[in-house]
Amino acid sequence: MNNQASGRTAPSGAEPSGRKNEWPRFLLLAFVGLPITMTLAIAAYGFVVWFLQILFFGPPS
Amino acid sequence: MKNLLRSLRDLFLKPSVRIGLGVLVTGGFIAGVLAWQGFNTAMEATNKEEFCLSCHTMHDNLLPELQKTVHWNNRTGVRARCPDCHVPHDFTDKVARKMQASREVLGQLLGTIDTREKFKEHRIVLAQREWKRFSANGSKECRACHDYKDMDFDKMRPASQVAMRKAAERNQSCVDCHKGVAHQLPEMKGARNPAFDTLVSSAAGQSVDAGKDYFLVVPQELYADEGMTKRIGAIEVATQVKVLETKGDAQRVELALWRKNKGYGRVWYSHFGLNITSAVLDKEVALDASFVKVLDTKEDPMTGLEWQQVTATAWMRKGSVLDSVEPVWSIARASYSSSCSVCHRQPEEAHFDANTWPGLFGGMVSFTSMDDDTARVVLKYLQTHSSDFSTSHGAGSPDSALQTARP
Repeated sequence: MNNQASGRTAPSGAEPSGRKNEWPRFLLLAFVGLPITMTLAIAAYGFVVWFLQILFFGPPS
Repeated sequence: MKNLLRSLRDLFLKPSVRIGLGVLVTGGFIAGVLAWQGFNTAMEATNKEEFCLSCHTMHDNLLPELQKTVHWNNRTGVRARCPDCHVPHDFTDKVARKMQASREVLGQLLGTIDTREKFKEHRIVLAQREWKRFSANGSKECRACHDYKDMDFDKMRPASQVAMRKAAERNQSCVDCHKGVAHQLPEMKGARNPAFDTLVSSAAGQSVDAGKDYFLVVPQELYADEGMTKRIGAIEVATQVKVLETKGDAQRVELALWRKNKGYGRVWYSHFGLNITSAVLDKEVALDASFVKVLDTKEDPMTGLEWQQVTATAWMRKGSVLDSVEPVWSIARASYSSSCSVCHRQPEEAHFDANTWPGLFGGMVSFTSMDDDTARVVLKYLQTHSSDFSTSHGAGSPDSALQTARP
């Protein structure tokens, strides 16, 4: 189903470049993009918990 | 921006054409394993003593202090490293603490505590922050190594047994009593207790009516004239005075106190027979019959000394009285319970009488970090809440209190 959808929208020239760049894009996403996102998400989580501690909870019990 | 969003959508939603599903999943799996391992390695690296000590603040101030304690070096070869005590061990709290360290990074960059002097001055802030954390989590990090359930109380010294069994019963936080076990305690001698600042500012806003009674919130000098040029003595904190008039910056007050009819009678006390110092006058003034009016004379059966009920009027700086003494006592109470419980459970105020407290307190106060002003307020608090004044403590006569005090 997804295949069909992309089949319908893709032929406008994006596909050849997508095909060419598939490996670099995959590697970039898996080994750089997502690890950075994970780290940022955990850092954000840490900050949120810290701010909640300052504002509402007080130090962890 | 639109392009970026579109390429992101394409990246996630468009199926790959050249790479097989298995390769993609395997690649993602490997990347995930590596990323998580890398994250954990980084967490661990920032949780190492070497990492903490890489800041010279830690290396120059806290390491040498720790090295003198049993947590650094002992006969069993088990030792505590910085993060064992100062970084929470659970994931969420740990991550939050690590993000909180951004404040420490900022402090390092701004040089908030980059010299030993600045560090010592700031130590009380840092210590209180850490004490608060330990009291909230019941000293969880200490108890990773020292837990009540694993203690053999019978092997402790008898004096320790009593304290530790009671603490275990209450599941008390270790740092309640064991402050300063790994680093020096904050230096507070000569420092000002910031709690007094609030008192002084509320005293400044106190409206004063002539003829009414008020209480001193800070010690004050006493003067003979309204220009406040001739000093005749000093009046203690929490002393009750009757305000007679206010002129400019000065206030004329009436003291109604007691003194011993012995020597010069310089020290004036608040109650008959009780050594609760309220004012200390200069020698000539104390002897001056035109200044001091003696209202009554009584002999104290305990000591055989003659006490005089005296009254005098003097000038002092205005803006240092409140209509209630309770705010002063609440500062004293807080200081008493936090300072004394560092080493032992503090006795009830009414466990001793007003004349026993000064000796006891004087012997103990040097073990605490109270500044001089606070120490005076606390002593006065203890005396005025002693068995002589307590109604709930049964027979409140000095005799019976003394006996219960010395088992």
